[in-house]
Amino acid sequence: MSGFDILFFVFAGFALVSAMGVVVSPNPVYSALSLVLTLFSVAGLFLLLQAEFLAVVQVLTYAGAILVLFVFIIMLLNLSDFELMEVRMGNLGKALLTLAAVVAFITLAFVVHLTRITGDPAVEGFGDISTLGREIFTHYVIPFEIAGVLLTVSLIGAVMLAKKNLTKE
Amino acid sequence: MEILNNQDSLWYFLPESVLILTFVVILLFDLPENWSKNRLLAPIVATIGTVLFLALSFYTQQFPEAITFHGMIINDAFTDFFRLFAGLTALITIFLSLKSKEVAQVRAEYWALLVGITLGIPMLAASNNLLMIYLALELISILSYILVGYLHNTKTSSEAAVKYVLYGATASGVMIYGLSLIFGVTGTLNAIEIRQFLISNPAEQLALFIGLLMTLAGFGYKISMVPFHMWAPDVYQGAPTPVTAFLSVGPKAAGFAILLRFIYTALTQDQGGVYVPLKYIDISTLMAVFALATMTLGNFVALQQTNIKRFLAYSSIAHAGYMLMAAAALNTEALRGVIFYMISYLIMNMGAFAVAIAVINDSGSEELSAFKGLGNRGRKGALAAVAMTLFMVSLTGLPPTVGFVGKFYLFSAVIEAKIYWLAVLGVLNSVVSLYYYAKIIKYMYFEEAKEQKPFALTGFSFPSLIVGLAAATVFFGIFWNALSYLTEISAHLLM
Amino acid sequence: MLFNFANILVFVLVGGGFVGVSLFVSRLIQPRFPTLEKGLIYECGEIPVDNAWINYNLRYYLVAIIFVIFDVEIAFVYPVATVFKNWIAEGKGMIAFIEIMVFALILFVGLIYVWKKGDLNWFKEVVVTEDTRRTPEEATAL
Repeated sequence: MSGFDILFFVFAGFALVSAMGVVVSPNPVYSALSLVLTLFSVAGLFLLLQAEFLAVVQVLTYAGAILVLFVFIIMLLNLSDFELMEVRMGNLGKALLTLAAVVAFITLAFVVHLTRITGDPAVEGFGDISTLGREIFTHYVIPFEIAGVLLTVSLIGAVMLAKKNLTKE
Repeated sequence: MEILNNQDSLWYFLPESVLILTFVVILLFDLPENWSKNRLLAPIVATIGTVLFLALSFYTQQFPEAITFHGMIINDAFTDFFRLFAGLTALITIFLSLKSKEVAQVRAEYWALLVGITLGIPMLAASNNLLMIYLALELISILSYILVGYLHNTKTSSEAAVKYVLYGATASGVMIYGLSLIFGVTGTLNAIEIRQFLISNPAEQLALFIGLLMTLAGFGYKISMVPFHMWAPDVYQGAPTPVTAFLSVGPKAAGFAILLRFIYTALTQDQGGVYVPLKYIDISTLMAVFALATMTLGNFVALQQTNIKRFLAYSSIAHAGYMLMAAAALNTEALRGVIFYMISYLIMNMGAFAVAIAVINDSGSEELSAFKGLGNRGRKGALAAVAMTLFMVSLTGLPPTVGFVGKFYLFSAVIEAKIYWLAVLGVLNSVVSLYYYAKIIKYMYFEEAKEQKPFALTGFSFPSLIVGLAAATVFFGIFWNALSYLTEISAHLLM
Repeated sequence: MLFNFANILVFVLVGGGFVGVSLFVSRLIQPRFPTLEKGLIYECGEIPVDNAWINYNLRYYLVAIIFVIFDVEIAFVYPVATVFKNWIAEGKGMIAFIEIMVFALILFVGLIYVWKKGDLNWFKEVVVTEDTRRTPEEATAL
């Protein structure tokens, strides 16, 4: 087992355990904090795949910005609301759902394990920032611009829905 | 086949650029808020933008078919059709929004967002790249969430938006996992190259199949395919009625467009009008099962509905089932059939929603009982009732309406593909649907209205729209040649 | 390339190890006499009042989401900036410039929108009632 393999298992293990933490933690703030750990571990996995830029963006945007947003939203709600959020479900229902999730997970893991993933990266030297920049300028211009529209739209939508009164006086 | 670079592709992108521009113009010019004060200014600009979009798509339609932006977007007859479809749907929705009391007081953003969704529809229908598919799908989805929750001082609207977001986020998460599996197996994001890879390589069938199923979750959610339909009734009920009308036609058609394009392009091989599924993946049977489940559930649950919007939601699920038959039949007839069916669905469903809006405006109630005695409530009431009767007959699929012709085309494509059991069960389903569509007709003519005042349907334009749609329902039901010519030239996928 | 990140790995290991070892060692040798005061949450010497978990204002959310959007924009623009020079050298500078400007301008519309609608203002309006008679200046000073 090489050093990379060990690192992979460490990151993957952290990602799995902390992802479980997100789901099972009764306190939403703890869930959010577990999510930070998950995102960090996934960033580590990206690094091992030599996608450095992706890893950095993952940490900056997801673990940095989006998680802060999550925590704000959790804080925005009332503590008492979380008690209402508890899923009312019998033990049998919970057991069945857990079983379904485990089966789905094992199937997926099995499938991915069996699959011969075509080893080539999407683009030669993908993880490199300048390769990424060149691709954005050439092949992926239109998704790039549409992503701009998408971001603007979500900004306007989020801001609009947060307002109290959308109909004019 | 020609794959154009970015500069040459720009001309093909002209119609969509106009929509982006319209979106920006409405938002920016409204900033001093004087557009929101004038009730008509923003919708007029939105209309002009959409009309310009339509005109430009007639212009770009003359260009030779091409794959543009390095294989991201395909400009073929199929795309041109959906540009036309999106433009028409948007125009009718803008009109309905102006007439509905629910959204009478909206700000200018509402119109900008509507234009935004209209942009997403042809983009999704034209996507050839998995990444592009995802982006266009998200563009439509996010805008839909916002529009559904637009009336957020009413509880149902907010509830609908939250449910929609939760379902949508899950579906798109599952979908992007599926897309990544497909990419992992085939090593490409381009649908055409995926087909070429699958033809020349013995594929990893299991991973591909699971990836495909997960991708279908995303598409199926957009077209409310069973079992991904759960959001539809609540969202349709909670959203402002014109938005519901739009969601049930525009984004749904876009979902169908990309589902069909993806299946036909990536998973089948064209052998002279018959699209043979690639080995290992029996996409035809899979989609047939989905189609049957969708139409059966939609029809049977629609029987018990008492709210007009929920009623139309389940009816729209059932119609999604009929249209899904095209993904099972896999031949050129099926493509033609589904395109014809979409046009007929646009006419009759928008018509049904137009009458529903008139009734909701009049009674303030969304219950089916508000339709009671509509036929006997003055001249306007009789007019609305006759139109609604035609729409219901057409939605059932009886002659002499456009719905009948659409169903005829679809079922004959299924028979052509020799999936007889699906055709038989589909026809049986139509018989079931007769029961609940006829219920509305019965309400309108054979039941007493709560209050016998004349039906309030004022003005000239709103009744004319209803009459126009009703007339189109009958006209194209008798003279369908004009439409079938359009479907014939549109049913061409560049692959 | 990947080797550069070994530095970070070493940092993480040393940092995490330092915390872990110190906590473990202190746990081994510390005397334990818990009292009520020691168990309290430290709040600048004050006795803590009420729950720390209060309802945050909606404004935090607004600012945070605006930040997220533009954070993502930067993530998109950054790789483009790294190759811009090469593109100018190849004589395609103008195309690249237009591409990036279209992207930035579309997002700029969003910025203008939130700015003009006053969503970037921390104090939207000061409601003056009998109980809260405060000018904006006083409110800022608080």
